Amino acid sequence: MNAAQERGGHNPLPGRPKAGSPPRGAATREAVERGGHFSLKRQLLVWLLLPQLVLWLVGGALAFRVALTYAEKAIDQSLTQSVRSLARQVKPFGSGLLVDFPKAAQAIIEEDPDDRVSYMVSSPPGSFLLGNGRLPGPPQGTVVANNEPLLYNVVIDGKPMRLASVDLSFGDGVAPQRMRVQVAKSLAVQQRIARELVQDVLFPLLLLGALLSFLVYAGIRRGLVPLQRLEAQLAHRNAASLSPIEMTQAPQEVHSLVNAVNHLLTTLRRSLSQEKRFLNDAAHQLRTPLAGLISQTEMALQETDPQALQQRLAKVHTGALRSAHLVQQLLSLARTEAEVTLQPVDVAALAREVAREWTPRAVTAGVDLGYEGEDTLMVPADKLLLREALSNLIDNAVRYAGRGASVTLRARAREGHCMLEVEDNGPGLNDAELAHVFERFWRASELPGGCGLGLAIVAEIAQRHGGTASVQHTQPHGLTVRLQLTLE
Amino acid sequence: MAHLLIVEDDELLRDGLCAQLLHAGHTVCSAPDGAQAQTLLESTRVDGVVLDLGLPVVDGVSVLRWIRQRYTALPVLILTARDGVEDRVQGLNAGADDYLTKPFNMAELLARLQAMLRRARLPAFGGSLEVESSGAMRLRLDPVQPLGWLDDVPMELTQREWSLLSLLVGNMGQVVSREDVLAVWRTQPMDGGAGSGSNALEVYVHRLRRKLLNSGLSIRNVRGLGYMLEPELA
Repeated sequence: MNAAQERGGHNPLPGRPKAGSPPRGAATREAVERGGHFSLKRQLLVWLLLPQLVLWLVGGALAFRVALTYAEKAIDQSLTQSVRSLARQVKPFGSGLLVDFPKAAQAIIEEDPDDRVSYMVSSPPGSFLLGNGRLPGPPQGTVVANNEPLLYNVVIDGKPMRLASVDLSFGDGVAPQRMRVQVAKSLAVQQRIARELVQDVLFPLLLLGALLSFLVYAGIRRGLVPLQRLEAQLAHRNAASLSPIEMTQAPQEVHSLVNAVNHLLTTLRRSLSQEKRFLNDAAHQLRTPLAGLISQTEMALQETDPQALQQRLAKVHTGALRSAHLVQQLLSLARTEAEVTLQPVDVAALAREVAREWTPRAVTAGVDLGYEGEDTLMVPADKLLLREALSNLIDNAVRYAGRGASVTLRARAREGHCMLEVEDNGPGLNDAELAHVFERFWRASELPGGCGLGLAIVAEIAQRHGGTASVQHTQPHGLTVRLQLTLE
Repeated sequence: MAHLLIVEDDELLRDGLCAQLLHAGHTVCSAPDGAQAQTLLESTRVDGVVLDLGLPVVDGVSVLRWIRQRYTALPVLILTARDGVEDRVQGLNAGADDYLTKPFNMAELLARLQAMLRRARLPAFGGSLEVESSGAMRLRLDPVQPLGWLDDVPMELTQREWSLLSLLVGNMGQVVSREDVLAVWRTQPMDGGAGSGSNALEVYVHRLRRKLLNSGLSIRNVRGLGYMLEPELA
């Protein structure tokens, strides 16, 4: 379907399953797709826009409420004014009432057909005297104060109205009388204000919301571009190229990601190149002695003279021993390249243990092997690897120091370091040879049995422990190899 | 000297092992896989087993477990081509007495087998502790009491001399550390004379050396590591 297929197995992009993958792959694909639902972009959008939406809705509702309250206040104020001025026009006249209500004022009150204003004067309160409609009195139980306007909602002819009512006393002390003046106004005006508010405020608010959403979306897209570039960079490289990813212009977070990936790539490159080097070394080193063995056995098979046959067999035996040693060394070299796990190890006890194992062979070789130093010395180390290193050091010394020599193993703590030394008083090496001892397959002598890997392995193991391996002359003659590890 | 079972699937190695062990004076029988080894063990009494871990049909570890269920005391030396610690630990946990990694030196295999067979004759198994090497007298120790014989001539041994010599004989050709000797001594009653420290050990070694004079056996002092019983060089 697309490039993802042509690139084959190198880049299983999420959501783009390979064609014809086996059923086992289906689970993985499903997982990838499920993972695909968790989109960073979607998450950001949801968490940026949802709170905004809530904010707008709550804000709009609040603004609406506040506007309604103010509109109600304005209506109440005008009703209070109207009821007071109407009350002023009603004057007691003897035992009756004189209503001085000019036509003009009446016209103003009744002018607006939508915003209908009703009024009623009654005396005693409740019995109609004058007005353009009958208005109900205050709700039951309300304390009606004299000359104090009272405001309440009523429904007249199915329409909600706001009503202001004021009670007044008139007449003399002999015949006190009361009258009530009421003015009502339709609440339609309040609803109109609400409608206008919806139009004037909510609509621009919606527009603004849309604009903000667009900006947020665009911002997120822009912000995620480095991630997409990274994805593209990774997708377009093949498995063999382990060079670091280059991203000069990237935000800090992507930089951290790129650095982490680059670190992984570097480690991978290192281990791959080591593996390659090992394979090259191993191929050469393993084939050569085998070829020698085959040629010796071929000749031995044609040999008829028992003495010559004996000599051939002796060579075959030496060759086989050498191959065995070589395989052992190559394997332990390969092991040093794996990850090491450092745990506290008593290296003094380990050194004595390895030395004890080597004693029978040292005795056979006529070498006086001994130990000097600490009784216990705890060092963070990989026990198996360290044992290998010590074994190689002793092997080397016993092999090359020669009959009659002394080999001394030492474990000491000095200045925050652990020193493991193997000292011999054999012939030693000259300065030029000393420079090569840690190189792979370098051999100082053609003494049989060696393969030139022993000290290379020691150096590798020292390095894996974050320590060092060094060689120096022993006075007056001989070689000292020192393995220095940190005590912490 | 001993009847041994060799279980090894590689024919070349099996053949070589049998020939060498025969040459060393043992009698041998052999099996190429785990199942045949089990059949053989059920019908034959053997003194020790050399067992390869990577076997067809029934693998070595299973054979080892099977042996441990039936013949608790039968000494087993395992051979393995894998040298990871886990493999050794697995083998030793399953009940092996010793192990060797392939390829191995035949002399080392013989020495380890000797030591293993010697240990198997320790008190718990009702045998006596003895060493015999060419050019040397036969040294035999009583497994329970402080008694010893050089070519059937009784030796005068104190409790401590006897336990030190037992350790050395049990590990002939290998280094016995001072700590090991002192650890054994701590479990035993004092028998007068020199205290119990490192100096005492030297005193006892010195006494033993005098008692082994002209026996063809000698105790080597391995610098900083311990002591080793070995045949005296001619």
